[in-house]
Amino acid sequence: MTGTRGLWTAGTRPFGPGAVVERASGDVHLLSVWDEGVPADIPHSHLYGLSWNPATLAARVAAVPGVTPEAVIGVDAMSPLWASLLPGRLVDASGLMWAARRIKSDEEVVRIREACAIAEAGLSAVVERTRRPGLSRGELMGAFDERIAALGVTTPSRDVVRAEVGDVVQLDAGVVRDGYEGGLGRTLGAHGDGSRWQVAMSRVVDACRPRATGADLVAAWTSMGEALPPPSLPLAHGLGRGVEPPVIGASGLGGGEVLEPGIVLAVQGQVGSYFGRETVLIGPDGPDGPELLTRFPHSGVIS
Amino acid sequence: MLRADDTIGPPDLARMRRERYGRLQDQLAAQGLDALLLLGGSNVEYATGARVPACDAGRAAMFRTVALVRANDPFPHLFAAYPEGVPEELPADHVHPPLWPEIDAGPIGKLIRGRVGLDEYTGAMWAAVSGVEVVDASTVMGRVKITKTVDELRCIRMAQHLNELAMTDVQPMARPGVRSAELTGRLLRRVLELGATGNAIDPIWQVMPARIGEGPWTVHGDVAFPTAPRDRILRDGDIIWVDTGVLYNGYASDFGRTWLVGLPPKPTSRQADQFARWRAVVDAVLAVVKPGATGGDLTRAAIAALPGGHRKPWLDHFYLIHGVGTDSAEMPLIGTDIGPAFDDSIVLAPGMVLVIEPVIWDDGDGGYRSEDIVAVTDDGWVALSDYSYEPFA
Repeated sequence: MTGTRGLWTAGTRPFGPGAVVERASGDVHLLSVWDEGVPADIPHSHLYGLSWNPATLAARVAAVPGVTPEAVIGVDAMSPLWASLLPGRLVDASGLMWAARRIKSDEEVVRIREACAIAEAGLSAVVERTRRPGLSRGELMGAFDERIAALGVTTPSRDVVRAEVGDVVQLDAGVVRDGYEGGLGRTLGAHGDGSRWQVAMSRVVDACRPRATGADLVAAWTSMGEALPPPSLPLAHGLGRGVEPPVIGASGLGGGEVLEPGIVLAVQGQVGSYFGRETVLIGPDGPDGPELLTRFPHSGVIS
Repeated sequence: MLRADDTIGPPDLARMRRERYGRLQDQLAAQGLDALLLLGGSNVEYATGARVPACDAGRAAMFRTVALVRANDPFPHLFAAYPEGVPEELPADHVHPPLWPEIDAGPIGKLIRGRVGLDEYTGAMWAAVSGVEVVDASTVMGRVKITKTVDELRCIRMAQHLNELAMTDVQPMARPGVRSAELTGRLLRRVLELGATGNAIDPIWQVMPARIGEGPWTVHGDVAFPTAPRDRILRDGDIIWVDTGVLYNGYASDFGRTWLVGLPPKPTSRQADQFARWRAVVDAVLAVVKPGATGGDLTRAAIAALPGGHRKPWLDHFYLIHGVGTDSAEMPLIGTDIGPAFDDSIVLAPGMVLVIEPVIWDDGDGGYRSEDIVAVTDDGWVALSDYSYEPFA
């Protein structure tokens, strides 16, 4: 919402009032001790500092114009403590935020595309390493992180090694670059399962068109006789500033979601021991269909 | 009972999970709670031992592992986004498919009744959870986390050890003409090769200005640190404040040092004096660390260690001391803006972890900042960090 560059930390973050936007003026107020990384259109007067005392921080938020006991204030998350400290009537605004984030602008797609390119470069480094047998999981993950850092990106979106079973190594490569995530998955040593995966995945990717539903994507995958991945591995999810709705998978999850041009999806699945993931941009109606933002080969280096 | 030697050796992870869970059950009983519902990654890890890969916050929020701890239940219920990370002792009827609390809170609402401790609501839950008495889970989590078991201390020591081992490879790279992202690449590669289970924070190699006024504008007029890393070319004479944290079985390290860039790096006499003052503050704090001492005793010792006229030797927006565990900064927080009465209310006890991070700043000549970690023992403290202060000592 604010365009601020923040410090990357791993894992979920506890709720805190990170920013306030006032409807009447459109002004953005931001929790930040400094102006480093803060866009120039947020003046110093609109920065409020950190406090370790929730009551102090709540008072700073309450000093923002428009934050009154009578106000209706949308929040994207909350904690019981903060719910008792903030003024106004607090309502769920997460749907509003997800809706705003759902369709990517051209500039956002550029960032996701570049994140995909960096993730592919990191994956190359891992593939090069696996040509030497006997390397540990940590050595493969380290090769990924070192390569993306050489390209100026120091924030992988997750561990690149998803699973190791015997000689099979499932890789799930992703990075966050300028706030946007891109990535892809490939498997080393899965042999014949890879070509079956490609056939099933090409059906799903081809189904990623305007007005298609989550159920249509699931049907495309199962039409080749492949089993749906377990619930912990959704067939598709939105990608942008991290993982976003729609999330589509087993047990009817996201079956009613309707795709639109500008949605970016991570599409993933597993066939036998082969796991793979692609990043897909839903295009406009027409013969071109969806655009694959990930291009790393399946054949040759990957068998 | 905690002796210094107890903190050395490999952790018994099964015992660690058992003891943490026992503490949670004790607090549920003491606070009259029917259940704890946990969504925060570090809380879930603490309560269940479920392993979750280190990942970006935007991914971690959607792929959440959720824990439900019911009073008197011998095991937690786990709704696992990563089934491969489920601890082996959990019975099958306590392991469930993932919930998607960012999207649909309906299934979560059905899980809880009575008086429930909750760490956070997603937006969807905020709209949907009703008919239960919800209290903030921090009253439970803060109490159980503030003192560590022997195995937790061993995990923190190991995380710190791996971080420091990797730094012996990284520090010689910090020479003129090197990009800071190259330091990050080497650090991440080395810690993962050495056995760290993940990275907790984008490593910080912040080039510090000589004057506060030459750095970013701040709301309080103090030094801006740590700002989000930018890839920049290190130059001769740069003062860099290093701050990194890696993970070992869910526990974070906290590596803080001041380095100089040069061929070879050599402190000025002013810089050497800053280090001496930093050392004096840490020594003064450590001299009073023992069970029964208060946080206020430590802040007063830190301030008294410097001759008059110097500023409070820590950053205004932080603290003199913080804890570390499944979170990079957790209780005890000592020297915060909550104030002296709060510091005085913190009474040191065996098993508490103290990350001591004074800052010495001379406006015009930059400053010195490092972090040393100790655990409070029965009769004093034991160091959990052990990295040189080169090029200062």
